[in-house]
Amino acid sequence: MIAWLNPLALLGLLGVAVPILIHLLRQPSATRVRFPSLRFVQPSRTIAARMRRLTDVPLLAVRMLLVALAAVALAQPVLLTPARLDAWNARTARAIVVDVSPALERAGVAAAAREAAADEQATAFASAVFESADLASAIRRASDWIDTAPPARREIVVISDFRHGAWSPSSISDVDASTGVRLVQVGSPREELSFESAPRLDRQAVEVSLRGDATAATFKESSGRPDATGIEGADDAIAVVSAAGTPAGSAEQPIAFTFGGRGLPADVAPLRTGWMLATAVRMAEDDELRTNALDATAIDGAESAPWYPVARALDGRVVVRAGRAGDRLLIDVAGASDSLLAATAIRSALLARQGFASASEHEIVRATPDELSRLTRTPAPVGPEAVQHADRSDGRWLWALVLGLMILETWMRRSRTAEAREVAARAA
Amino acid sequence: MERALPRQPGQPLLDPALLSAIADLEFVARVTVDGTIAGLHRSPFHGYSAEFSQYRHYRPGDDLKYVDWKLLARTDRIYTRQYRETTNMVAQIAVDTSGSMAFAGAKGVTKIAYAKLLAAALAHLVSRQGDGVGLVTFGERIGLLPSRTGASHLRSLLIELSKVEAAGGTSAAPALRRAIDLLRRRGLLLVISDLYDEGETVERELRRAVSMGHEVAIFHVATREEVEFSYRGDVELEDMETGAVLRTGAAAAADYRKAFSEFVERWRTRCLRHGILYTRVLTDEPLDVSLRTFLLDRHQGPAR
Repeated sequence: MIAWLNPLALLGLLGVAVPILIHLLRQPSATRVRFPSLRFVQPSRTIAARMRRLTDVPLLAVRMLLVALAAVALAQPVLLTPARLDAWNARTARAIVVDVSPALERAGVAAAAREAAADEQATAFASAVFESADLASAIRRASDWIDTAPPARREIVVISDFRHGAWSPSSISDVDASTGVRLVQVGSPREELSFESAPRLDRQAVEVSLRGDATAATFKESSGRPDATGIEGADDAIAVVSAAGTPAGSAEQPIAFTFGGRGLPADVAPLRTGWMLATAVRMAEDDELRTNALDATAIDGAESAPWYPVARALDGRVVVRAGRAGDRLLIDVAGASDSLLAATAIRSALLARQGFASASEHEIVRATPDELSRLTRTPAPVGPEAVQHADRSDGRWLWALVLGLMILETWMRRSRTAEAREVAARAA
Repeated sequence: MERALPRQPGQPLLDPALLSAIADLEFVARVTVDGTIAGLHRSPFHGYSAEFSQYRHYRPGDDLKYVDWKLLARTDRIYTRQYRETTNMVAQIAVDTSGSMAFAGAKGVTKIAYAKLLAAALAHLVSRQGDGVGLVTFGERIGLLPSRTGASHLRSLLIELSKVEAAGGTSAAPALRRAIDLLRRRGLLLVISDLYDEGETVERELRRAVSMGHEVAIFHVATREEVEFSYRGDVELEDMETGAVLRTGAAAAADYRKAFSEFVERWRTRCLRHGILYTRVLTDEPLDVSLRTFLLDRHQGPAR
């Protein structure tokens, strides 16, 4: 099957008639020869008769072929062979959308996103990168570009943290069904919990943001001045301390968190002091904590003393428990430090501190891998219709033939001229 | 100063191309005649204008045409007639110098050059037998040199012949008439021409010459290109005498050859009818071949 990238150029085949007309109408150059007597010489036939007789058929044939091949070459033919289709299907044209919103910078994953984009480019036959904080418009631009890409399997790759609110699955569903979609999530698909407490009577507030790795929690007053405290502890343990005056995690009422029973001190004791009990009880009454505890996995031996059960899973087993380690309230949470349960427990503990009013919360939630995988699809195979976007036609071979024919035509024309000169020289 | 062409291996000594490059026409004529009659057993003009001198007994080997059969019938003895050659033969050589004679063949020998070589050889041949020879040229104008005997006259004739150029139209009939008038008594008229003139008027003069008892011989000079018309592709032909131009092509070749062949045949027929010796010569044929053919044909009789 042959496809034409520029089919209008085939009209040039009409030009094949031009050499025919020239050969019919052209009075070929005739050498003048002095001859003894013309009495026996018949003149050339009339023009009408000459028009019925083509002169120099071999040269005419070369010229006609030259014009025809040039017209066909201009039409840019593409031969659709099975091998060519296989070659197209073996390669991928990839439009890469990279989320460059500030959230990724804050999350420290912007570099990872760019690195992932570079990796995707390296393995693509043809690629283009679309960086934008507006994923929907970037996906539209990527889709437009992929429509014009050379024949290949087509794929749009979106690289983002896919936090809810920053993108919408509908922007993916608008992409052509034959184009593959792959969503590459940078950073961890975990919830980020941040909240700001309501002002207390003394106009202090706390802003707590807990990142996925839960190795940092910043307490700061509503004035924006960050607190000098930080988090102490290893990856899976957090000791929340704060300066005096902050309602939670203060120096007088320190709270420590452990996760999954790891890093527990040896001397965990039952709760004794009032503020510890009050905190634990208020935590147990926290609906949010209760809800998020339901599908957590229980801590082994969580029921046993000296622990106070704060939250239970659906099967009734304890997933959050409170104890005393020295003068600190120790909250042990089943699950990793970056889990929703952990964040909820920490928030609940802080909220449960005496005088801590309700807080407005800002939850930053990212799409889960399951959600992303439901939107992923593989590129459809390339069919013959893709030839319309072929980046190269087979016309170059025809141009080579045209060049050869031009050389041949020139040689033929010159040899005839030389022959005529020879005749004239002989006659002279 | 002679301008000699280097002879190519295999090129005959009497090649017209070679001979025409030699300026000394007398030398050329001598070489040509010597080469021609070498091997011929007798004088080419033997028996012509000869007087009966005596009878003698037949000897084995004598030519039977000289046997007197009437005497044999009367006497039962075989006698042959003996003749004495006379020295009063007069020859007039008429050379066509019209423009068409300037046409050259592939080897570069023009018809006029060939005609001059042929005329020189014939003049030498006649003169060395002690006979008178004259020259008539007809082209743009008529040139006349009455016939005389002797080496100095021959030299003068050859000088005049060497100066001849081909140009203009032809005026063959009046020139031939003048030449025939110059013969006065029975003589030999040798016409060297391409015969492109008016055939009927020329034929009339030649017939007159024959009726007056003169022997007439025509050397019809042509180039191979005129005979074969081997032009490929379109050509514009310019008539060398009239200047007319005609465009033609290879398709006309067959018709041309047929027409030219008929032209030759017409002249052959005319000559045969009137007892004129007709010899067609091509400019690429060696001169001795042309001459020998003429002399042998003349010896045998009718036009070929």
